[in-house]
Amino acid sequence: MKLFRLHAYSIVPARTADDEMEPRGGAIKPSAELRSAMDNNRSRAKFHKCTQVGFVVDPTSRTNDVRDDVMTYGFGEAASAKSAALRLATLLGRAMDRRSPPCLLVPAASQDGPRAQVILWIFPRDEAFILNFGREGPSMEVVSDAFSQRSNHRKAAAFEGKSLRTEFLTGRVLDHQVSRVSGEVADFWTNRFLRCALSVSNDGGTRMLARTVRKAHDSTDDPIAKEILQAAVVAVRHTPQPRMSLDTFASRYLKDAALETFEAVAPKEARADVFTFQRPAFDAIVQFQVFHLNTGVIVSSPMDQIGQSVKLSGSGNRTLSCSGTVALEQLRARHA
Amino acid sequence: MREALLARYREREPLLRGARDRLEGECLDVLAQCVHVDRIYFRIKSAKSFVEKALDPRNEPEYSDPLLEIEDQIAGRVLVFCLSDIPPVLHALSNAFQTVESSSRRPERDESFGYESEHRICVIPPHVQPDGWSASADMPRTFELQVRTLFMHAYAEPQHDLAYKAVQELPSRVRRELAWIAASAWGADQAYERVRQWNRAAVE
Repeated sequence: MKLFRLHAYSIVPARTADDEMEPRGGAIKPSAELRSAMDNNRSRAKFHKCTQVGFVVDPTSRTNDVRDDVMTYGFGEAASAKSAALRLATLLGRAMDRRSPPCLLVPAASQDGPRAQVILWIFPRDEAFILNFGREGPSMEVVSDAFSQRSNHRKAAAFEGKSLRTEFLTGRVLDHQVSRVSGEVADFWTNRFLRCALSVSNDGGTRMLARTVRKAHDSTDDPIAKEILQAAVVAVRHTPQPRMSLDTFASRYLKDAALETFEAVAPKEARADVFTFQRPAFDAIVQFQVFHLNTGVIVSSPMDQIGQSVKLSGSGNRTLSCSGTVALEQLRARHA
Repeated sequence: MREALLARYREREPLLRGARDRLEGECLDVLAQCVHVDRIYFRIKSAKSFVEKALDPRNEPEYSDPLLEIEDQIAGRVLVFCLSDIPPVLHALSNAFQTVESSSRRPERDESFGYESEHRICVIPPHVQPDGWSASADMPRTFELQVRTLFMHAYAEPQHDLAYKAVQELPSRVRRELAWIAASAWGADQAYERVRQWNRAAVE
């Protein structure tokens, strides 16, 4: 995709309606160096591994103001693209609050035949030093109006497709906060500015996780891998960090053969998609572990009883023991 | 053109089938708590039907990229018992899927009876996309969902085969017969709703 359009606006959060200022900036003719820098930013972002979002569209009119502006920016004439970029800049100022530092909004459009890619970047303001060498010796200069390309607080959203009503409904966001923090702080970029929602619902993501864990567990014969997966199930049900993706789950809880098995069965199209873990949805799929013993006995145990009233020992031929007060006895023709 | 489109659609059928199965499973999970759901089923559009729709001379405007634009390549249907079962189902589905279009299909005139159904166009979420989905740039972005009562369905399904796809214009008598069936289905839904209200009051 070849970059053909670039704008830049300095954004100061409009903390109240009274101090709203028109964003300063406009069209930028990219130099070879700037073009290269933007290309590098795009490569570093690894958008194909970023979480997916969808525009929250008015289902009666199939419209979303931000989506309309993004498409105008990607496909419209120069004048309408400039107006769209300014509207986006104004909207960003309104979406930011006291916690957000001033930043640089850079909409960038690239084209490849009938397809366009629009990336909205924000680079946070940062302070930098410049070391100068003069006749009187070296000196240091403080630059307080620089914008950082590498900060972990930079954000981006990439939308790509043709100019069709079925296109530009979803995109991918680079937001290092989105998988770490729940609520307002993380959601300003996705919800308040882009007017998007995460593509995977919380229940849907949790079910995907539960199915993947179950599939990984059932598809490995390695007792250590099984043990790690079981421990991961117990841990995730009590996690204090409920925002996760399959990738973050894997990096937090799995290693070695358990990690390999999990990665082999995880759905590839959604591994980076962020959701908030929902215990009821998880328990609906993975709540019990069933052990078939060589004596014909079957033990079905709630996950959090394993290691408590249900104990496993040994690493090769594992043995199981359990204890508890009998609460109910029934006769059956077959196992329940 | 026709053959090329047919071949391209056939190439994608395994991926569409994979997504269809996962969407159906997802809907079953999403609606597990909803009572009075009779059936949930999904289908992919047949290659023949896709090409006919893509190249239909009545299309205004014509599809420029039917592989991307035709939104019912995957479609699902949820059948519920009664009218009051529809809103909770729609609510659960809207929480699970990003809805981009919604419409309540009803006859335009109050004194007419005909096809009734709730239609939604939703985005195909990433976790139901089979491996390899994003390798192709023109897989569909959306799928269609229909939610209706059993009586709405009892009218709609045979009518679709008999009348909607009819090769010639229907005679007046046949149109009146169909309107009568639609009116009977509408009346039955209303009557069931009154029975349900009576039952609720009796239980309370």
